[in-house]
Amino acid sequence: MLYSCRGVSKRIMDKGQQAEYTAFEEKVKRSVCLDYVSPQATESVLKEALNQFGNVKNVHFIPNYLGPNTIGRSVLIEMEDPKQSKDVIFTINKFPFMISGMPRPVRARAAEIEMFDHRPAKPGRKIKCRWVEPNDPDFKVAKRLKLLAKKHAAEAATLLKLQLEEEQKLAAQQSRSLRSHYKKFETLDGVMADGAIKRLGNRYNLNVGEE
Amino acid sequence: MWKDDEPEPFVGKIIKIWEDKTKKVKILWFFKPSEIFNCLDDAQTSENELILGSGEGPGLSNINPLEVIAGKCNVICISKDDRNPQPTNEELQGADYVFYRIFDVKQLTISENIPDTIAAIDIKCIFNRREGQQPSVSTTPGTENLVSNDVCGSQTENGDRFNYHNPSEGKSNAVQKSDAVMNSHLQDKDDDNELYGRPFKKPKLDSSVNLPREKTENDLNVRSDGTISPKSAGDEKANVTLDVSNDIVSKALKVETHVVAGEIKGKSKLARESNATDVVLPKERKLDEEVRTLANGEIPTDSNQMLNKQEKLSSLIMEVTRSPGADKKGWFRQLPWEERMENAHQQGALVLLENLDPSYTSDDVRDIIHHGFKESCTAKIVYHTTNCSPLSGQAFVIFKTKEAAEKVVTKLEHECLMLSNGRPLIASFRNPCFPGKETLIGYFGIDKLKVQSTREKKEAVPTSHCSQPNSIEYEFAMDWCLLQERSKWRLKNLHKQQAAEVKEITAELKTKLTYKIF
Repeated sequence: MLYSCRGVSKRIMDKGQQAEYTAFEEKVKRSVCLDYVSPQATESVLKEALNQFGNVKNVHFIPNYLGPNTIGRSVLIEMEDPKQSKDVIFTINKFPFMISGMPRPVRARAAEIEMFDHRPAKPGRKIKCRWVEPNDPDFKVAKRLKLLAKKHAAEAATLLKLQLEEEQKLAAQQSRSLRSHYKKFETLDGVMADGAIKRLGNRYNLNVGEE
Repeated sequence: MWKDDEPEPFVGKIIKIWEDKTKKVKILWFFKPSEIFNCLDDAQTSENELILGSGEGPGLSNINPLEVIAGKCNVICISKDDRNPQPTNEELQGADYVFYRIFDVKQLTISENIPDTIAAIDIKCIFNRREGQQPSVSTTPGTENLVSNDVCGSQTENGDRFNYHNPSEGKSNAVQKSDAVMNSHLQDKDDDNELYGRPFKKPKLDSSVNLPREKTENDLNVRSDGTISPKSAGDEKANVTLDVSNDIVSKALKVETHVVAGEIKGKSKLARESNATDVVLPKERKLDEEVRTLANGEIPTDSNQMLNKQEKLSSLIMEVTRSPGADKKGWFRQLPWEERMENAHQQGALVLLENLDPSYTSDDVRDIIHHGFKESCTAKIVYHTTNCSPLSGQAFVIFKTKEAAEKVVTKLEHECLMLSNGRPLIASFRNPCFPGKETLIGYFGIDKLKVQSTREKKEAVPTSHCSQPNSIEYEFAMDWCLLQERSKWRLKNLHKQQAAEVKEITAELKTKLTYKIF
């Protein structure tokens, strides 16, 4: 198969594209990426939560096609100006911020260009590609690179698996301890409610006030 | 240039040395960024940066016995102030620390404007020394000349983020630190030995994968043990400065008792409060073992297939331009991407491309396919999430027919389409997971919230909030934070290592595509 070389680039840097790209970069600076957001949090919940920091312009859920299902969701939030997004990140990373009130805090990062899908192309950029023949000395290297990439993907996957397992352990442990706390609370509550405590108090001649 | 101190970070500048009954030294302190983190809003500090104390108030300087001095180190001022001679590049290389900002201990603010005197010393003595200036030596008590080898006290490792708003907490101070100095070195060594002997109590995974985790905990632990030692030497002198945050230590210990699991978790909590990125111990994770095991298992078989293609492939470089189909896209109304993806997947025409440059857009991918294969398709980049490697990007591509998809995949398997920067394209069929079935681990509510009739209970509506440290929630949250930090750190190291590997092999490419993507 022979491919001919196309020499002329059609990506001319014109003003329109450049302006678009700059506007896009601004947008990125104003945006925050929240991770580990519970799927139960809706857009309005998030908006409300982050309105404490300033004005939320846009909330965009990042769909998770490839990752594990139990890792929660990532959300891209566009604030009104970069200072607000910095505030958001700073506060969330300093104190555990819980959206929808659940024990697992969200994590915030500054957004990066790669997180947006509808991004305008960087003006003035050209992409080149070529087919490498089997008898080209680079071919072997390319093969190794391919292998390496696959290996890396596998490594990352294992690490992710390990992380998920840790998370599950933690969650199980927390849920146990939560349940035990709740039980104690219930007993206390029950005792107060059905007057047993008053009776006990009388028996011991203790003054048990009604709280 | 002054020489300050060595092993662990308490760096200061000697203001004067004198002797009455015992030898004493007055030191003006530098702060490490982690110590004044509370007041430092943007966490942009370089690794060896210090911040000079200034203003009036506790914490600026204090008097210690001469024995606290542990050694010398090199600190260079890189402030752009006019009065400061700028350092040369060699000096910068040779410096142990740099500084260019000051921290006012009274107002608790950081600024880059350096005043004229600090602690009654002319600022000229604090800036870098000009050529030919000889520092003067003084031995008379009471005069405030700078001494030549300005040496400073050092201290045990203290990465804790302490609450600067309570300087009066003051139980620990430099004297205590000096006692701790002796202990710390010994103790660190003991810790190391102790930790390596500790049995692994890890999930039942490949033992190779346990390595990174244990190493992480080792690092965290030695640090945390280091901070406990100052607490033990309990001396009391006024004028405290950089507190070793006894309040945080005690709080952390309290929290520790709540931990159910008998592992090293408690100590890790202590360490968690310190800046997780501030790891002093060597960061190299020995992933070799893990990598080897993986490699053995995962080498795909196609590497064994030797290609005996007789067809000639031209290795002419193609430039990828906008494919003709690009403009037509807007003409037809199309189903939303997810539906299309699902349909394509069912037909078998959905391909996942990997090892793309992360800065490509969907259009780029489409164009690449067009130029490489003369197939038209629609592409969409997969978003870059937390766990994705920053090295490569991925995209889903939908072809018109199943045959086209298969053709592309097999072609990319056997041959090589090389993109700029030496990245061969990889294609595979992959099952996409569709949103809708997601859950979040660690997210649970109390299902048993029964509304009791005897008491009025409002429906507790959970709101979004920052948790306060006085609830159970907070402890749980701390656990999660710790976990997150750890995995973040691990991922970072993994990516670093992977990047190095890729670079190594890419360097061997003979023909480089010289046009780089920027």
